[in-house]
Amino acid sequence: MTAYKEFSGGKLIFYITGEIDESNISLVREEFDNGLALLPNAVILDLRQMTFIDSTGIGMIISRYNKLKKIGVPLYARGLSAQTEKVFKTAGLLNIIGII
Amino acid sequence: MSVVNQMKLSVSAISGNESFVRSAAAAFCVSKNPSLETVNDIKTAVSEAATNVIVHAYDEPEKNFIYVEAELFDDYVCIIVKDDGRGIANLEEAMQPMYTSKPENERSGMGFTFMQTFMDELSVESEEGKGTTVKMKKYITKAEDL
Ligand SMILES: Nc1ncnc2c1ncn2[C@@H]1O[C@H](COP(=O)(O)OP(=O)(O)OP(=O)(O)O)[C@@H](O)[C@H]1O
Ligand SMILES: [Mg+2]
Repeated sequence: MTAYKEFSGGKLIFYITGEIDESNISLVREEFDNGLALLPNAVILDLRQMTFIDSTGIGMIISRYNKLKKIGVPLYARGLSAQTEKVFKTAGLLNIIGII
Repeated sequence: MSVVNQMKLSVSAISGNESFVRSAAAAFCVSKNPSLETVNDIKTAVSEAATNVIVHAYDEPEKNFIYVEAELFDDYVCIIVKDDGRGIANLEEAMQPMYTSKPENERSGMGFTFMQTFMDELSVESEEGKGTTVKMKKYITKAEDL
């Protein structure tokens, strides 16, 4: 698993690769929050290379989504694998996060 | 239909074993040529059950175990994930979508919902102070059927 970010023009792109679960979620959280500390005006989750996610990752995303919503910053996701899409759908995330 | 293969696995209840447990459960079915979707459904559901053992069952998870048992049949697999930890006092409440006893950990309370959605059958037994047993059944869609 790796998590890294790109920040330009006020836009944060946050990349997650490999499998995320309880064993590495704190690294993902930390890196994501470092990105959010840059005060982006839009956030894109790039998940093209993420090969596994379960409720632990969903909890991390929902809590960031709620924080961003409060300050009016949109969150988008792109590159969902079939497994990720099914997990997002079951958690109701497809209705609240823009899929681009 | 008769069982064609059986597996029993006990591993330390540490988060570093989550990926091993879900991969082992999925790999156990490989002789039945499951579709990628079936493999991913099994991985996701087993990951939820194993995570719950690691996160919720024990005060000292590193000194305790996740127990996995599986039976493979011609067109389905039964997988049991259990622990001998604290158990669940109110199972009906625990299984509600969005219920979590650990919201401060950024948990969403979706684990049981995922197990239910990704598998064909789910049953949970739990006794306070004794532990929790999650039984799941999944019909195997063959890769060539698609
Ligand atoms: N093996 C277990 N031992 C003890 N309690 C458990 C066990 N499994 C689940 N629970 C209890 O059931 C609740 C609901 O479980 P569920 O997996 O649905 O949500 P969660 O683990 O809290 O959050 P999420 O799975 O979304 O990260 C847990 O919060 C916990 O209180
Ligand atoms: Mg859970």
